Amino acid sequence: MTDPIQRARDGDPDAFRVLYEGHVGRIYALCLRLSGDPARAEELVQDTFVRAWEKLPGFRGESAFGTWLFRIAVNVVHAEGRSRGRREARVALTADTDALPAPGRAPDPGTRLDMEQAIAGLPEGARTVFLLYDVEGYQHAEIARMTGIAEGTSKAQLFRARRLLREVLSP
Amino acid sequence: MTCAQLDQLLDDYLDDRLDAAVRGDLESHLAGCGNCRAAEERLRTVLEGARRLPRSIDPPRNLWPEIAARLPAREAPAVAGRITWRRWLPLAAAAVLLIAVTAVVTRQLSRRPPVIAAAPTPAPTAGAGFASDRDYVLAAEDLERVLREGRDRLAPATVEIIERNLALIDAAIAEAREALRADPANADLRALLWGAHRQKLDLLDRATRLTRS
Repeated sequence: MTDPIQRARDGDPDAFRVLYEGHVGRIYALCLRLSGDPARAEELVQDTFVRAWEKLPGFRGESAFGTWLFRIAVNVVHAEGRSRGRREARVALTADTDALPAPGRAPDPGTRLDMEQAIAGLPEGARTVFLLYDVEGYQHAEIARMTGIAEGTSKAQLFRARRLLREVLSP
Repeated sequence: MTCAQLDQLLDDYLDDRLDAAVRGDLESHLAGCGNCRAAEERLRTVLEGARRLPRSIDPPRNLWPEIAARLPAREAPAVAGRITWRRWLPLAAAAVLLIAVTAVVTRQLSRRPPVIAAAPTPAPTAGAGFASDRDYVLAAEDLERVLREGRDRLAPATVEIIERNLALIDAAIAEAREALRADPANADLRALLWGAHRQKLDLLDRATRLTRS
């Protein structure tokens, strides 16, 4: 286990800030895409890191720290989504496309915006698995551990997500 | 192989999960079926679109202060590896001094009367879209140029503190880069490097705003 994690585990908030700085971009991207609402994504990022701080003493390094953090973020988003209701989030995302991430150095904004919106329109389970597998690059076994679903369910959700996206993005 | 069978196998085909025999059958079908080739093309487009999405997006504002305020205290350990701590001491020192600079800057800003002139062109912010070490370097260079142009408007003591802090953060960046060269897959070293870059951008952003106030 590397030093900043160890020190954060032992209660050093400065070390935890270093971890925050290194991971906040990916956690925000995940929360934004899962929740569909920039303001909520900010709250979810905060909740994720506070939860991570609370759970850090139990982190034994059995998975990468980033994977462990992703698992917390997914659980935080889903717990919050269950209490709020998903329909509201979808409407917010569709109505606020300006809040979607700006193009990177090889801009292809039309295609990318279409992609973000299409992902936002997926059902929650399919969206989560698609983001974790096709965007983040996790394998089904890791996704199953992260989200608490069976590996077969993860495969089925991915199949469903890709099928829906193929239809939505067809010319 | 029928079109319906192919449709069920298309994901595994593009994920490279089919054995050679099934793959051969599928490719034979694809060669002679325009509809299935179109379906394959659509799925490829989806997968390539997903791969092109940025995996990291900086939040529009710094969320750390609110997070830090919510962290419950935890008992600090009696012993934390001395050697590894010393290794990151420059970064920790930079963080501490950054707080000092922030306090100085904030105090100076709060003493000044409100500025009535037209708003200046905003400098690049320590914000969105930094995907690589080079992105941070380029953003920092922009801000450093703005700072050089306006440094005469700062008090010498402020310039001295800013430069001392920048040197410390640069040392931390150099140290993290060197460690990453030896261990490129180490995500935590990368986190340290990104953290140091962000501290530098944050300091430069504050300093350049001070030159314009």
